[in-house]
Amino acid sequence: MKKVNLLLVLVMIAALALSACGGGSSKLKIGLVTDVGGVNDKSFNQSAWAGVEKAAKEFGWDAQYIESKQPTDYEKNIDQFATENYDVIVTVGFMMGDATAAKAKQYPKIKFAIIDNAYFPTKDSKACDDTAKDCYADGGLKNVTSLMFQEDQVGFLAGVLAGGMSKTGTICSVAGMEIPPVVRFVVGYQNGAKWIKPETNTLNVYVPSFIDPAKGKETGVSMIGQGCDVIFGVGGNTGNGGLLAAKEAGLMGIGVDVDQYLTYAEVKDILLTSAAKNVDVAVYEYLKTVKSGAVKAGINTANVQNGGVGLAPYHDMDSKIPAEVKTKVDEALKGLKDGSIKTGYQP
Amino acid sequence: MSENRKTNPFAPFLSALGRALGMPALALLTAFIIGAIVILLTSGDLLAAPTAYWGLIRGALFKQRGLSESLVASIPYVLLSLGLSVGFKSGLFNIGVEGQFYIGALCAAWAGQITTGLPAIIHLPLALLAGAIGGAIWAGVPGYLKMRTGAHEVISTMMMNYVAFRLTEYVITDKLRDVNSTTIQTPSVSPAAELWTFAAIPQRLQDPLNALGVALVLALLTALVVRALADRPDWKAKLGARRGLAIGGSGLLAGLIAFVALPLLTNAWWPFTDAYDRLHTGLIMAVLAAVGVWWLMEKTTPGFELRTVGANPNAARYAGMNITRNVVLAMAISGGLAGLAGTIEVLGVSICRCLPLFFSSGYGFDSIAISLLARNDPFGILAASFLFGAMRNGADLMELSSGVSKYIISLIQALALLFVAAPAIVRWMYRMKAPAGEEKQAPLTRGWGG
Repeated sequence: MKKVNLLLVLVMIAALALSACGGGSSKLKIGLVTDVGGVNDKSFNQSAWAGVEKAAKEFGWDAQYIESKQPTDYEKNIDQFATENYDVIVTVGFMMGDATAAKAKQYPKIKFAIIDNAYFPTKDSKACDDTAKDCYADGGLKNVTSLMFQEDQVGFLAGVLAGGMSKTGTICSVAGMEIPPVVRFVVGYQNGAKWIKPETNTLNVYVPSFIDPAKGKETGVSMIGQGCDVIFGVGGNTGNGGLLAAKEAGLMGIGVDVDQYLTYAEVKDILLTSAAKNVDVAVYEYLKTVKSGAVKAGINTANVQNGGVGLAPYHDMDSKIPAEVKTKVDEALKGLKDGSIKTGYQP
Repeated sequence: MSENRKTNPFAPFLSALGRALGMPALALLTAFIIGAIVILLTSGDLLAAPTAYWGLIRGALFKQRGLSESLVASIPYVLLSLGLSVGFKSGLFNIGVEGQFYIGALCAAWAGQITTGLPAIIHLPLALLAGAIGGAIWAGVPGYLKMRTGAHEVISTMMMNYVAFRLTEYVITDKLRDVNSTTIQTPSVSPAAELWTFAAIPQRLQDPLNALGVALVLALLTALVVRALADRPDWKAKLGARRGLAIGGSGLLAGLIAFVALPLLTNAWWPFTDAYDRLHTGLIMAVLAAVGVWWLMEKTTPGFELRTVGANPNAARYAGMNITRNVVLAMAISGGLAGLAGTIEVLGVSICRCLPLFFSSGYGFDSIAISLLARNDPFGILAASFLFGAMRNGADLMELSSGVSKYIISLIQALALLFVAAPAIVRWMYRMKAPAGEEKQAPLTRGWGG
């Protein structure tokens, strides 16, 4: 028995010594915790990991990811990195908000970045009291950076394109749940279409789900019946159902979040473009501030100015989009960049 | 495998080891060895397998919160596997535990949020009961269908799984959606319905009502243990007519001591701190459930009936046992335990203390493997569940520290199960002789006809 104990102690000392060697260098360790979608989800998680990998490669850091199997794993997975002395932990998606906040408070020396969850002003969040003036500065999240996206800007550009391409003068959107990022997309989209042609008629339905393609398709079909000929699918799989409706009616569609031409091959021939949130760019830019030491807690917004959001390439549609519409899109982009055009979204 | 099978020098030693540890342990060892070979072949690095396994062990046991998280992961495994084992012993393959897990979670999430006014002594048992009953009903229906219409429980419980998944999704996204949250989830349960974490026990016990609840549970448990002991012949003779007094008195005494002493003691000294932040009292319930299932199946008349129905329904019917009742009962117990597992995950683990979408990732299906690995023995299930929980938890650090994908764990578990299901493979590998009589066990489950 004694021998076994001695052996165990020796092994542990060896392990300690080894880990101590690793801690001496200035090489940062970056951990990414994915949502249940996993790192190959062709969307957010994959894009976030791409950003981490790019930064790690460029700056010579160590990067690892852990895939969450279920929501009850979030805390545990963040803790895996924290207890292994990781310097930066990136968590992907709104759902991880509570777990990230809890762990950020527990490990104030580790830097956290969360995608799509602004802790403030959000009521009924477990992250901090409603009395806090600012969840980051005095609410206990001094080490958390929220990576947010100005979806209304890229929605606006998509709307300009849709309004320019529509022959019937009616454009529509099949949206997912009515949560802030989705609303930003939709409001921008509608105002963009009205900016290029003020008389454009806009239709929108919020389907209370992101995982209901059947309902999305049904909604799309009914909008086509009302004269819509460009469908913006903006709600995960529900939005994809809307795109499918456009495809089956031989009309046009616009994807969302990532370049869906590459990820949703079934509808690629009718996709004008996709209103993309460049999560990889946002994560990379964040890690660059970590490198330079300029990293700040609080909300970090990605917009058209810094390339965090933007339209995906036109791909097959490139030849079918008239030059004057393209010019208008570029003009809108320029206006949004210099602030002369507002998307009309009010939080 | 090129050596001469007649002259393997290790055969006697391995046979002895196999006998001592049982086939499951040998199967597991073999699975880990094959896993190491796979790691070696895919990475081409001699050190990869030792590094990976050391990371696995460290992540599962030694790192901060490692042991705690392993226990947290093994709690649902214990309850689900116990549920499966009750079914197996009664000749039923309840493949629907995952669905019952979901229904239990749903019922508990509902019962936990109906009001915030109730004290924990009422609300927590209520929520636990709601989850268990939900699971029991969800499993009892296929049991009844089997007896009435002949619908095989493998088919009907599997189909009930899909109904359960979609029903849960519907309720979470629509009927019971938390309107204040932008995340798709049910409202958080009342603090009174939350399952206590170990770290929070001293603070919880400061409320006299909570202390009373704990005292009642302890009194009941003490009385049950004394009652069991009092049935032993030597005690029976000594106690005589004072049996009832002894049982009641010891229970009362234990309850009183607990009520007075526990709040003071835990306040003064308590070992479970931040390092165990997610470990919850579901652990105690899981262990008690194992003892309870053992007691029910081995020591009571209903358990004997269940086992008889499982071993030979015709004989059971001839002996005057009600087959329908027993099948439904077995399924209900099985489903109740599965429902309780889901309940505990909602009330004790989920950070929002609510039911979010995509709640489980196949605990129920892993548990089929666990109960087979443990051969349906309740205490074997405790061990096997911890093993699976530890592997699931340690796998992350293994991947982080060695770069070996955590999915290798699934391979090892699958191999272990394969070897347990077909012990002849292991015996062939190690040139062992089959022990006499081993093949004559009752079948785990019955075919389509029976």
